[in-house]
Amino acid sequence: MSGHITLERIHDLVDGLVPASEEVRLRHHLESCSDCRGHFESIEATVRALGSLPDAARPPEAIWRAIEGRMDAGDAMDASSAPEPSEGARVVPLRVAARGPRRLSLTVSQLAAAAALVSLLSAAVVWKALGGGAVPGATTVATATEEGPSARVVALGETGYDEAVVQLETIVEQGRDVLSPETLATLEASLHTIDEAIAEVRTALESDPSSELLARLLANHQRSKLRVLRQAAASVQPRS
Amino acid sequence: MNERDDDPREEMGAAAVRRQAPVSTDAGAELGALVTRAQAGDARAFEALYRSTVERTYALCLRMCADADEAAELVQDAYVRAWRKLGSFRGDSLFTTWLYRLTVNLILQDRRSKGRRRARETSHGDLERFGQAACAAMPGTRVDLERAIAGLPRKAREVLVLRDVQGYKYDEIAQMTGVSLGTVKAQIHRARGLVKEALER
Repeated sequence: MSGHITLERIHDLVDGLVPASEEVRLRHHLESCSDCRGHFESIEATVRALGSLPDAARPPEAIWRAIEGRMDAGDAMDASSAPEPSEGARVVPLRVAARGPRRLSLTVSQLAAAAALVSLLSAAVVWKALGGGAVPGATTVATATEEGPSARVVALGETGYDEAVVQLETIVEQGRDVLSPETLATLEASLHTIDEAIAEVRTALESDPSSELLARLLANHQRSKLRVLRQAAASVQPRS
Repeated sequence: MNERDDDPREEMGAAAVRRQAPVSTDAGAELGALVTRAQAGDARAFEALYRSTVERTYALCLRMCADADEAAELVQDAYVRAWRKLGSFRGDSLFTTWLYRLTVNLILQDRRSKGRRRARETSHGDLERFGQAACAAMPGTRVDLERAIAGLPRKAREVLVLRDVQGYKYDEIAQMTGVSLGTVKAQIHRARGLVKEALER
């Protein structure tokens, strides 16, 4: 093979997620490429170490006494056949920071204005995710489902989108202390709504993968999420 | 590539092997009998279930929260909830699978409800204290690795622990956390990188 193996594919290889035929090819490459082999061995060692950690810890004895007390105190067994704990999709919100010394309270319009400052930030990833250029290895919703060309135009590259989301969420997490709890709560609620919409469209796409309308809706919702995250990331960036 | 539930190739890591370690027939039958008695309201049987399973539940909570006090609260809540919901356990899965899944859901819910009141950053002192607590609770564990996990942003820590320590599949984690499979994978890949960097420091 020509070129290096992508980091994502190296993780897939470590996780055993690569088809057998491709695995042979990748492992052949690892034999001759010290860079890729180094990444692979490093990730594999980290994963192996994590998987070898003890999975038992001695709890404080007081825990059982507290549980027993709550059982006695009327936490009676609920036999009303509530569903077993296999809850479906739920949105993990961003955490709201404790009050700190440096906080801003921003309106939505202020957040939008601040977005301009993020132009250099994550620019490549976000640009690619928004269709500004080809993302190596990216698979669009459209091509993944073998849809027509018009749907291909609007669908976002999932890989680029995921990278952008993670990158922007990281920036927001790292700088969230500058935002007031109220602003963070608003941000969290907005992202929650968008995530629910994305999940709903994804479910619908599973039933109707050729729907151009659903592909457009998904792309629009994804753009909305990226826009909100970019605005938030711009707001928490330190001003130089 | 997409994962499939029936793809056996993913379940090759040490964590996955451990999570799917077979329960001996005797131990499984004993747990099953305890569950039946506890479902009938036998608190002593439930205590025996607690004693049989709490060390793993506590380890899960400890690593997911990186806070011994919070982990102890969550273990308490998890078993109280398990006691209350035991009537709905129909034996479709192992009791331990049901219990650990219930605990993970509780941890994720707890973060959402309490997140606003808690400080975000984990200080160096917090990590030192957590390292000591982890070593006391899990003698022989790698304190550098425990600190590296504890120092991750909470979301990254949760998905990493679920995947690489607990051995859940990517799609199971996506379902539990409510984010897309691609985002979960990206978060875990990033978390692995951060752990590696922390270990090299």
